[in-house]
Amino acid sequence: MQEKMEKSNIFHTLFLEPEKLINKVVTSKYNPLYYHGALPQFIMYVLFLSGLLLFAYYVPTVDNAYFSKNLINAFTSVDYITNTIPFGAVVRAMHRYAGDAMVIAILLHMVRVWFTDRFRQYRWVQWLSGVVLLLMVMFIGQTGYYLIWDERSLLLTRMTVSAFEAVPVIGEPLKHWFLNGRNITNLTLSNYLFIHIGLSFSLLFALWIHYVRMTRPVITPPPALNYLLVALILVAVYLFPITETKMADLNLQPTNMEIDWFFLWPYWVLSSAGAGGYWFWITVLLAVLCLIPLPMFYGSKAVEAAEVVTNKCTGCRLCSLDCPYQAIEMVPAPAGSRFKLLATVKAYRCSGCGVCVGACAFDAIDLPDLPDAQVNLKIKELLEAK
Amino acid sequence: MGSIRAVLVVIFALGCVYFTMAMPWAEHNMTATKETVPHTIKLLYLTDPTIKLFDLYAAQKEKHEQELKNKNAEGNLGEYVYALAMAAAMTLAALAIMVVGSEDEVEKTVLPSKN
Repeated sequence: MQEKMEKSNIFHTLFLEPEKLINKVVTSKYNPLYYHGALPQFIMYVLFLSGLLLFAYYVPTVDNAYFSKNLINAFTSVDYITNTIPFGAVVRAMHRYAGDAMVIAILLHMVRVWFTDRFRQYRWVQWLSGVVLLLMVMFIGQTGYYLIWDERSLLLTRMTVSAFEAVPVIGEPLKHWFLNGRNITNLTLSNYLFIHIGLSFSLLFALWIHYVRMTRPVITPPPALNYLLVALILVAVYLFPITETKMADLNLQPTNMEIDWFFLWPYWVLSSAGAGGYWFWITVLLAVLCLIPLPMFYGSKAVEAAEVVTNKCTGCRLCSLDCPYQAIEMVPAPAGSRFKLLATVKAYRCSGCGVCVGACAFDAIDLPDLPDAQVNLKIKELLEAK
Repeated sequence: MGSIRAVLVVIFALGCVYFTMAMPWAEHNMTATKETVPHTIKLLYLTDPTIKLFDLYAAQKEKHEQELKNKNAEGNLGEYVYALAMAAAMTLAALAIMVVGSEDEVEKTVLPSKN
């Protein structure tokens, strides 16, 4: 109970107070904290569009042919984009900072969902698909850093290979898959590009799974918020412009690199804890994230599903439309009924939230041991509580 | 719409136009002239006011250039300034839209009442 109170107090300080303040300034219609799930999706479109422009000029080869003057490889093509293509540097920087913004938005979404307990019951699918989406975004971002093919890309590639090699049994095949061969060749960068773009489009499929069980997912922030978000990214482009780096040389071993803390923090773990420690901490982190929605960890009581009072149900579908968990299915009414449809509750999907009780205008649905009058009273009490 | 809201919208909209006009100036590496004024502006016979605006922006040129050079920025420096002008224009446009749109705000929590 005390733990619940603490969680509630932290949530109040972290989210509700800023929410109130923002509502006063821009009203709830434009409060970005109400669109924490939709913002990453909008950022994804910014990334797709900017990525498409970069892809048009990118050449995925590592060939450095003794640094000949008219060399065309991944690094020089990125250099060409930055220095020669109109707005190339801006588009490149936008692609980078939109990626960072996506990680921030996803983390905000995740923390808020955790605080509001929206990972429980039937929403375990959303939570786990969200964890998968976060992993995908992280890996896509990291492959983006490999693609530039500067000294940092080479160091990241070698560090990743060392981490894969430390995995028992499948370490060698993993390394082989990652490098697209036994050594770093042109095929390695083709593989990076394939992962970067292929996995990006796979996000759409993962998002479908993320949304499939939601009745009315909010997936589009209001346009004004989208403009503000793009404006923030553009300000970051000006404040942190693209800077010159050195082309990767396979004969050298770079040891230092500039870290993007949003995407490259696992490499900090890798360099600090070694390959064994890296896999240990990553496994612990993933295990914790995956175990969060298990009922035994949040002390869930058995849920008593809502019950339809069949002789009162008119088949109006209000409860079915309002149910956030798609737990109410409309079926043909039994023979002799005055109405065409009858609501039925899928008990395994019901979280006992009481939304259907509030939606029904005919008192035709109840929570066991909690008549709708009491549900309304409880809601009123919660709303009025300060 | 209340008069204060209307005044705010006009201020934000004018600010948006001011920064939008900085974009063609920045695009030409912060050295725009009469020849580089966008064709649409010429059609609207607004070349002279635009040039005056360009002169206003030009006072900021050195500051922007110095800042970007200090950060070892790669590529055309004017394009980064274009990004900044675009960000300012978009922010003001968003604020104007918010002022207009906030009138339609609806209460999210509606308690059902049964008789």
